[in-house]
Amino acid sequence: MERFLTIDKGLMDNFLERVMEYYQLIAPVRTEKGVLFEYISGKEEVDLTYSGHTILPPKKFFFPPVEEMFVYEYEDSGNIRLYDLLDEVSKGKRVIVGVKPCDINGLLVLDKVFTGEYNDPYYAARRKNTLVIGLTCNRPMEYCFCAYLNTGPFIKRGFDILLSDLGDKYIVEVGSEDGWKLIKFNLDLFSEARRDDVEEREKLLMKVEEDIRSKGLPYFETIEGALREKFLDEMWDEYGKKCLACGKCNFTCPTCRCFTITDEPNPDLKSGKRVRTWDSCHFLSFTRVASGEVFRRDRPSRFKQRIYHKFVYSINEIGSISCVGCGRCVEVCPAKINIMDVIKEVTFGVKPLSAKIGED
Amino acid sequence: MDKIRVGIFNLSSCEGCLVQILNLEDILLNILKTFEVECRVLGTIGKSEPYDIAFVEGSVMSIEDEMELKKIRGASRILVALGECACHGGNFLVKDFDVDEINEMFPGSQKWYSHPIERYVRVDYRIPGCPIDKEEFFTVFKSLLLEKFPEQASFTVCSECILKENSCLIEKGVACMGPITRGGCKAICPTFNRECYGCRGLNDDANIDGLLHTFKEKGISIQPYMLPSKKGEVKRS
Repeated sequence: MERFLTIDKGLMDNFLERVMEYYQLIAPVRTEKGVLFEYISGKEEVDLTYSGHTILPPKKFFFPPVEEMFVYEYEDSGNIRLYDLLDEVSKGKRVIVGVKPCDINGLLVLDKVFTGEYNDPYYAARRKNTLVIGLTCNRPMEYCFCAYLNTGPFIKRGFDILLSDLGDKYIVEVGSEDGWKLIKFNLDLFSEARRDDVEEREKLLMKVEEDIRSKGLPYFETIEGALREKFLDEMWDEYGKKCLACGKCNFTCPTCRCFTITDEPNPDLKSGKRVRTWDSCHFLSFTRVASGEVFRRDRPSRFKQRIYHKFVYSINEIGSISCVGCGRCVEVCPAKINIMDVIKEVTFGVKPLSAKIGED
Repeated sequence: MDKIRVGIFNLSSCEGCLVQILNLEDILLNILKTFEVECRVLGTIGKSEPYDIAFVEGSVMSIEDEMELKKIRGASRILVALGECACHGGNFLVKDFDVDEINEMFPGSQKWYSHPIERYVRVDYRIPGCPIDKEEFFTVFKSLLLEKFPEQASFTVCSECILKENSCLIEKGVACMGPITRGGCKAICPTFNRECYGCRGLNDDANIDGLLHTFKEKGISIQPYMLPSKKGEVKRS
């Protein structure tokens, strides 16, 4: 479905207000911490002008950091009764607005994991009851590298509606039947797009792509092969010394999806709930098994795991790499480890400029 | 069901962790509705009564502490180190850096020490933090009543901090110990713009050299007492 419309910026508020009558709205909000995705209570909170990305990706609304899955209860007869919390998850309809192309692609990666070979009903339910309104970028940030991974700034699918900022108006691309319905009932706010508008958007995105492509990275098709040859390279020890194993890169990644599961008893100790929480491959406990054995004991091997899972193992698992080039992991890393440097070093053998540990 | 006997004991400390337990007043009593828990709080152990679970708060700073601790261990099935003092020696260790000045103020203090209880007895479980996180205590307590050992948190304060979408203090040039400190506190200090000072001890496989390197690159100076090598005296497997 290729259909273009435009909406004046002044009318965007009205549109969001109407959306909020029927849907719970999630949107970027500017706070003193930075721009965050949050549930919106008033349309004035929405900020569609942000560049780059929010602190945590929108995955937190589909695969929450802490998720209660079901409640268990011991009955007096000794039987155990389970109450699935899935019904709670499916309740209500949501619209998330202002999702950047990299984050939309992040959701498409998660879709392959959670609704592919193994179906995760909790994720699927949240995904099903949420419409995605995308927003393309006008200005790339220092750490963006989506253009090398084909995950931006152009985007073809994964959205119900896609907005692009053209100064005084948004050009609107309709991406799905559901997206069209949302517009159809508010058609008075939109006008048909002219050919120039579509061309202007094209030009704008071309410019962004050019800007990003000045970073000198290899194209993603070559990364897998290069990584396979470097598995035993010494470079990983160097990164292992630098990496603080704090796990921030995993938690801010739009595609990282590892979790751990725990049971939490209630105070009566006869009932409780099963809870799923995010986990990170950088933690020592990540590979701990029932016997107490830990498979990836040294830090370089855990650092390597993240890179290899994203660019090598993931291809076998879901048919695509698990990196969308948003640059969040680079930005939040306290040790300033740059995944672009890692990729450059692997494919071109170029070492990053910063001093090695022990040499300073 | 037989009564589960729980003792809460106190060596040298500020008793702040015990206050945290009292702060659970709303929910703690719920356990007593279904479980029979006989609790001795702050009691000296006197006769060697058997305990199923003993929580020991505070560090060993005197021979009396040591004797008391050994008595508790002998009488208990499960012994839990409660709080930073019991787990690592606590903030009293700061005195090790300026003993002369302290000796002037308090003559004879050189014979004082502050040892984690693990140095004297076997410890089955640790609840670190200064003070402890009351919810973590409650989780552990519930699990122990069910005869289960919850897994010791092995994530960093950083990972909890980013879940709150806080902006990074290291980025702002503050010496925050978040990347190497064991999480479980829900990053309460950085959330209120105070740097993490590592009260929960080192995380598993903490990269101290890496953090010092990061501080150096960012021009962040640190005080000697903040060095984790001194603080995390207890080596863990």
